[in-house]
Amino acid sequence: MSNIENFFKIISNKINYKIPKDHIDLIKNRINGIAQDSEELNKYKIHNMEYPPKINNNE
Amino acid sequence: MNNQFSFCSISELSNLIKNKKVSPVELTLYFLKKLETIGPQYNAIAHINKKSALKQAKKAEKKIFNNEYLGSLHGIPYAAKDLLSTNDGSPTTWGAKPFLNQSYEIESTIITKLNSAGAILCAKTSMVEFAGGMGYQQPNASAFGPGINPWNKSFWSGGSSSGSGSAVASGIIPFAIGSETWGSILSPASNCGITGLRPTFGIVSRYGSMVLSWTLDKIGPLALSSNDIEIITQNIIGKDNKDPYSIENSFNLLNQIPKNLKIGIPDNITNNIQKEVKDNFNTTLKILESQYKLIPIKLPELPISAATRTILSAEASSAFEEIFEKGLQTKLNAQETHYSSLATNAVLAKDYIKSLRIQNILHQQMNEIFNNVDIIISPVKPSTASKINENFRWATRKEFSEDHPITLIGAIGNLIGLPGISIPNGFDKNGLPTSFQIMGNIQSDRLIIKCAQLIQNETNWHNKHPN
Repeated sequence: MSNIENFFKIISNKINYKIPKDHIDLIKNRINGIAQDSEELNKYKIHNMEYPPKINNNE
Repeated sequence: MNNQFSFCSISELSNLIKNKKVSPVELTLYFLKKLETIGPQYNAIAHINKKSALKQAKKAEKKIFNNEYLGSLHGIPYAAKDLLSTNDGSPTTWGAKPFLNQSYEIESTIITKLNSAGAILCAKTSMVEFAGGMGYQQPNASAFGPGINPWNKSFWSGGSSSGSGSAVASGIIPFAIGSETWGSILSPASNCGITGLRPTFGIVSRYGSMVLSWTLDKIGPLALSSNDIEIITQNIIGKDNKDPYSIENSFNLLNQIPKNLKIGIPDNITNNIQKEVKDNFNTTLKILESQYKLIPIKLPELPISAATRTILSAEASSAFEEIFEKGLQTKLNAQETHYSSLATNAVLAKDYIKSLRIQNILHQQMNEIFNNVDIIISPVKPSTASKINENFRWATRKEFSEDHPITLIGAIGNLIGLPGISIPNGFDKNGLPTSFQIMGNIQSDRLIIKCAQLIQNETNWHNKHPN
């Protein structure tokens, strides 16, 4: 099962209402967009010891 | 209809009030009538606070009569985006049908500050539902209908601070407060041909405001000129213990533009954009070029848009957790978001954390750029306003890539909380405004306002108004 399908399954199991058939493609497209962003982020490597996440971006 | 106070600057109105030529009550009644009669034409208004506005106006009138003048905003009517709560029992709808009757017993700090300055809250302005946090694709994503552009009613006012943009541009209120997570002040300011400021992250308290993204949300003013923006900003900034992200500011440290101001222009900034946006940008550039040095700059090569989207999606899924649990998003106007918004749950924790690390890297790389330039300029958007009935993301993506420098400037400014100001600088062949953006480093809000004032002192675009 693809990642998109996996995520779709997880999301639909988390809610107690049904997702109409005509909205399934819209969700999957959006999940696909998030997956594409994930791939783009993954291409950019940051060393373990560098650039911790900032808690407040004005520090 | 009498239009005597519409399109007056804050300075003009405050002089009239200070010299007792007009009373705050008269002025408030004037703008309340405009909001009631003209506001609905642009779907600009969520709620008119008539009773409380008149109460405030009478209080202001009494003080001024007793020569207790508080300053430039004393007696000046304003409106606030309807994600800012008030404690007068009036609704705070977040632009969303399920919350039309929602109200709070807390008052947003920014409203408290404006009230303390004597300004009169007359109305809450309409907005895109949940400030666009559900991922809307078209203008009709609001309980109050699509924001309508006062320059041409077939076109969108922009969002998510749609009502704030159209209310100021149509002259029915002297200034309004909006918010920006990614574009929501500068977009309506640009579309509607007015001046809007996205301040440095943290210098304006967000206490009492709906949260879309803790990392990205900023609150700021929309007005008719950068002079007005300066007055409003001085009154709304300040560290607030009720907002943990709030910081001290250095707004009043700068009084004038440095003589050796250096202006950064990103490479390829005018590539493949609408002709009039490009032409008007180049014309405005000449004003700055005649006095200061222009320096080409290269924007950082980082996954900036991906990081910004990831942070926004992850934080929205948390901020709106209860809404998703109850399925309330299925009642929104934007049908495309009813279920697709649930996809925000698909953001991986490691990607969210990576995005925060990229934010850190971007801060450092932009600091290096700002070691060589004082401000960065660009058009606000690659095109003028899109049509009311058009998918605006498709409308812009048709011609312009998501990696376009203009898009990156917006992502950079919002990801690391840099201040940016949008000022009008002309029109396209359909009579729709084009605009110019000045962005500075953290805490350079007054510098970019001063630069905007320089341009507005030499041009007249901010004095052009729709019929």
